[in-house]
Amino acid sequence: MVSWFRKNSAVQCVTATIVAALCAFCTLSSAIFAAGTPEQFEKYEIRVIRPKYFAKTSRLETGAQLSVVMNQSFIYTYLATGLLDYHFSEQWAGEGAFALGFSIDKDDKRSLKSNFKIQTQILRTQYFMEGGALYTPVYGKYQLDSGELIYLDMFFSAGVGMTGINYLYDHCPKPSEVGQGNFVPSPPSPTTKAYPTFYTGLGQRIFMDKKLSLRWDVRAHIFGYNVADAACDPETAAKATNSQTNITLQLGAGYFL
Amino acid sequence: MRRPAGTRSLFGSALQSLGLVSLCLVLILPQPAMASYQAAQQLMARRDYVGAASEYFQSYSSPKSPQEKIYSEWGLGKSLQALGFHYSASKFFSNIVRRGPTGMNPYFRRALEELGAINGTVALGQSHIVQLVRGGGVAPENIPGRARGFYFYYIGAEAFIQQKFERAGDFFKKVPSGSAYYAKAQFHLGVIANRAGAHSRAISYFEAARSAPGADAWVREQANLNIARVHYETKSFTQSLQFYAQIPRESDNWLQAIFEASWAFFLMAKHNNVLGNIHTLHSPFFENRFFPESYILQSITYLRLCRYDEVQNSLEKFRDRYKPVFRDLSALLREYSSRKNDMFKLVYDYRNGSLNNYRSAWAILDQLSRSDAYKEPSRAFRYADSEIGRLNGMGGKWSSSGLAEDLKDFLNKKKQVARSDSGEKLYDQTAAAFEYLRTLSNQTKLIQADMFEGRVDSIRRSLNVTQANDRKVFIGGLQPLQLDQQLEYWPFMGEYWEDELGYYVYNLDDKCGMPNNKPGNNKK
Repeated sequence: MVSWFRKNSAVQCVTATIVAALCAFCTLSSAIFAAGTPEQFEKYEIRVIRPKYFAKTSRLETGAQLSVVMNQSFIYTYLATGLLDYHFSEQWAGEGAFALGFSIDKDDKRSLKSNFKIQTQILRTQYFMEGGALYTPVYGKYQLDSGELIYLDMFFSAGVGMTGINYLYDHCPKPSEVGQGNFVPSPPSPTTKAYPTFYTGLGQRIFMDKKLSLRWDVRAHIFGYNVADAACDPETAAKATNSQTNITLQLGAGYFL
Repeated sequence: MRRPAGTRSLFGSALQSLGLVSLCLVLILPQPAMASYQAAQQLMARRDYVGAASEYFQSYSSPKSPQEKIYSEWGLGKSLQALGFHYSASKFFSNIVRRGPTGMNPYFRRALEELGAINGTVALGQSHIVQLVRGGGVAPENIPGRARGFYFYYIGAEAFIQQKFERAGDFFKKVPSGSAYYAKAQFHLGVIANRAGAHSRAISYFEAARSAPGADAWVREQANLNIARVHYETKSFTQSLQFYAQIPRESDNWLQAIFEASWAFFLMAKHNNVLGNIHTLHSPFFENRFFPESYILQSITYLRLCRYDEVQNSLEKFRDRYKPVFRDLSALLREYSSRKNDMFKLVYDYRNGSLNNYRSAWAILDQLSRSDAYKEPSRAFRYADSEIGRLNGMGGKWSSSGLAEDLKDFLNKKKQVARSDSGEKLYDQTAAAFEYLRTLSNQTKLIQADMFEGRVDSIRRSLNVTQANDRKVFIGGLQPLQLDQQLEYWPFMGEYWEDELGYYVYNLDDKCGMPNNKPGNNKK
């Protein structure tokens, strides 16, 4: 396993992490962060060789996170997320995730409705359940100004699952709101519909001790949905498929068994 | 002193009767001794230890009878101990113990027990106790159960210092297994057995010492170090490394373990591990630590790898680093030869960062500051100063009786003795370091001369390195590589990280047999 990341300040470290992440993310190259062997350090006259501080192989990781969907203009969506990972090796792990949450309207949405009578149509994510793989090419450490060492790793994730979208149909005009002579059908009852999803992302674990880690993930959940599902009158709505990407920031902790 | 009521009328009236004058005199003059003892007893019963100590001291200083002096002495010790003046109390308990277990000394056994308890709380110092138990002529049945460990351990220690190992062993064996001194006694038995060549028995004793319930960090570390050394002597290098690896990183002995383990690696022909360990010893973190032999070991390791330039480089570094040390040490020894007592102060100043001279010899002073010869008197100073401070803070409570002055005098003498004993030992250790450096310096000249005179092969043969454990691979931290072990690798690129110390492993090949690889050929 390669351990190839160390700087002596947190700021440098974060910068280096981002750079490293971007490099790896963009190129998916194995040149820098390839699964390593001792031979990779053959050119160095002096090496540190020691048991790994945090070994993940054959360990089960449980995690809890708070996920926030970051790319929504009119609502806030928060999801309580549970993670279960099994690490087959230091680099590869399988992961299952389930998140359930709720949405709150932003002031913008309320303002548009009350001031301009504009009803915004939105997709409220109620849950997602996903399974996939984690690839961890980077394991490193950095030193704080206090001299304390922090070990960390960085991983990429990808997988598939289902995203549950809650339709409230609150953008639909109600019969009581329209003028006489104008007929509108009653809006459908609120419902939740699930769509197949693909996700990809990256994240980092900061190891607090030999079992506990703080963990963040940024993930893109991409799913296609039927436009008619959101329509106020499904019977007359044109059938079409659109795609949506939810970008989530997930913060939490992992515990290795 | 408060003037007694009625004295004004004594001087103000010519009609005072003789009886009144007598009454006033009784009030003004010091109380008779017997009255002090009884008062002390009453105060002791009321747990007024401050008052009791003062009264006991008066009856001890002016006793009505020899018996009263003995009782007062005991009471004084007990009242001082109850107040937490452990060192001060030890003065009076020591007096009692010194008189031996005679019929006229009823408190002998209890005083011995109290001293044992005090020594468990505040170290009295080996010299103090050895002087107390010197001779060891007391019949074992006169030693109370609770004091047996304390008593026999220190008699054994005295014999050990005098190198009477058989006698020492007899006393150490008498230390009961439940005693707080059992672990140390077992440790010393291990040293004695090893000296006698009984390696297995020595290891058993060291094992017993480190696993004894009363084993402190010092005993555990020294036991591990000594087990490692016994294995080294018997050429069981892998086992030796296993015990060196148990010395914790934060210990003062850790670098010593790293250094000694380097020799074990050398004899196992694990040259990259030897050089890795030496890389730790030479890191800037330890520039004030004294391991001159590491350069000799480094040079002969390079010699075994036929890396002659590195041999030369290593010897030069030794000279560069230790020539000034040698010079400063020589001046230091000259200056302190007539005032060895001041060596303690010198090391103290170094430790406190107030020393500005002998800068090149600081590595030696650092080593001295980690030795028992410095630590033990430092503790004595700390405890004595603490009690003197408390005595000063008591105002005039014990001044009128003279107790405060008596105790301060005792505590200052204790400091003086500690300083003097320590000074002698520290001076001797400095002189030994000087001689050691001189010997090593001579060795560097021999290595260099032999190398350039073409006697390299004979030197390499004489190094007598075994290949017996060649198959075993060691990672950093003196640990053998385990199957399926997850490792982390960090390249060293000129930047020392504190957490990496002790984990370095070199990656150098043997250059022996390569064409044109002769001493001096590759000189730049």
